[in-house]
Amino acid sequence: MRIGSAKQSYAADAALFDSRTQQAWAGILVLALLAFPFMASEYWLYLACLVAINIASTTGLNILTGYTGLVSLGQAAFMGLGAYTVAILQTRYGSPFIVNLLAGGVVAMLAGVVVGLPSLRVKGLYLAIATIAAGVIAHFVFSHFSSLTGGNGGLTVPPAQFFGQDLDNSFRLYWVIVPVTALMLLGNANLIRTRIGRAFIAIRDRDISAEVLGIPLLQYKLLSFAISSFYAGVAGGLFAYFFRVVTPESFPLLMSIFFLAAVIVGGMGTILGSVLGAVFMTLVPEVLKIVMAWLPLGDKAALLLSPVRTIVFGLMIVLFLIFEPHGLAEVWRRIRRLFHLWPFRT
Amino acid sequence: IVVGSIGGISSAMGVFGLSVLVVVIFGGLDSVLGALVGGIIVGLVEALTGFYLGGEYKILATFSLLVLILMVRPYGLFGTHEIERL
Repeated sequence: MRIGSAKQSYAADAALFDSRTQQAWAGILVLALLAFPFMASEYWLYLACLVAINIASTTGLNILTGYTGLVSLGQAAFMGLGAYTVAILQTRYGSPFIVNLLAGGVVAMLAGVVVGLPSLRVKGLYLAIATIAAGVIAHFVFSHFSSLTGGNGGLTVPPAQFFGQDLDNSFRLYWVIVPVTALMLLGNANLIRTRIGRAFIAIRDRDISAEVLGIPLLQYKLLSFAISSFYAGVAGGLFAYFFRVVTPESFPLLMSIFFLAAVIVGGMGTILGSVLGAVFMTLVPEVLKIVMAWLPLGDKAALLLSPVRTIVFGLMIVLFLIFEPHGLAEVWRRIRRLFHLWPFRT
Repeated sequence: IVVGSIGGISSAMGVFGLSVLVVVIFGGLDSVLGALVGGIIVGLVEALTGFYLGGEYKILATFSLLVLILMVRPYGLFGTHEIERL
């Protein structure tokens, strides 16, 4: 049980992992992530890449909804913008994938700033509806701007190139997706500890008071939208390289609801929450598949139970909001506290 | 029921509900008169854009109207302005 910490330099005090135990666990995590692709099958590598993309996007949405309190249902639209930018750049110019990902992020960021403008006038439910409108408009742009975006048929993306090698299976893409996601998570962790992060939290708690305290709402709300849609744009770019096909139908409203559910289930306003939420929401359909294959129900029942996925999404959100409003991150913290404080009770 | 008799019932009918959301926001979330007036206006706008600009622009026009009304009068035409107290 850690009681106190005595640091001897400012750098040590401001470090992200500041105790020996934390550093050790972080090292073990890095080793596990490095060793995973050599030991896992293709199916689990596919899932791992998908989970990493979802973590990236959920982290972005967590910055917007969890830390700044602006509920947004437009995450799929920003991912779509990022994905289409990457697809267009890769098919037309063949530029290196890092440039493409950054360009996708920037395009999504600009769109995010535009979509964020209503946030200065409206709050809560109304903002969520305005972001739904953004999603619809984005879908419209994708399907009708056919000269650039290939219309309803979408675009097929040639694989990313790394020094002449095609990154076309999950094993190779893992080495791109996971470091990018890790970088974004580190960025999020550091952002929260700066003035900007504290301003976001102040806006979430009571934005009128935040303005009275001297936080200019215009700039910080738009900054929050910008950062969150940058994350979504990069995640969308990774999505494009992973699935190699982008269509207007790949980014429906249901995907935005998926990410919002991941944020709520994981824990709004925590980094662990974004990770846990994304992992949980991505793996629940897989676990359901395994469970349904294991139960002797016959294949008629499997067909009837296929909308179970949608039901499970909604049910997850409702149940977590009622019974565990702080999400899986709070469950994790409670378990940790149990072990830390044993034999005392929490 | 009325919509079902025109278009046929299917599980894709939920998309229609999204336009209804726009009507309610336009009219104001707590006034019946707003919903009536909003419904007429939004329906007219949607049908006219369908006629003059082509069918695909209908939903774009509906949602652009939504964004416009959220910027100009966020509580809708007839909604009550919610005063935020600290």
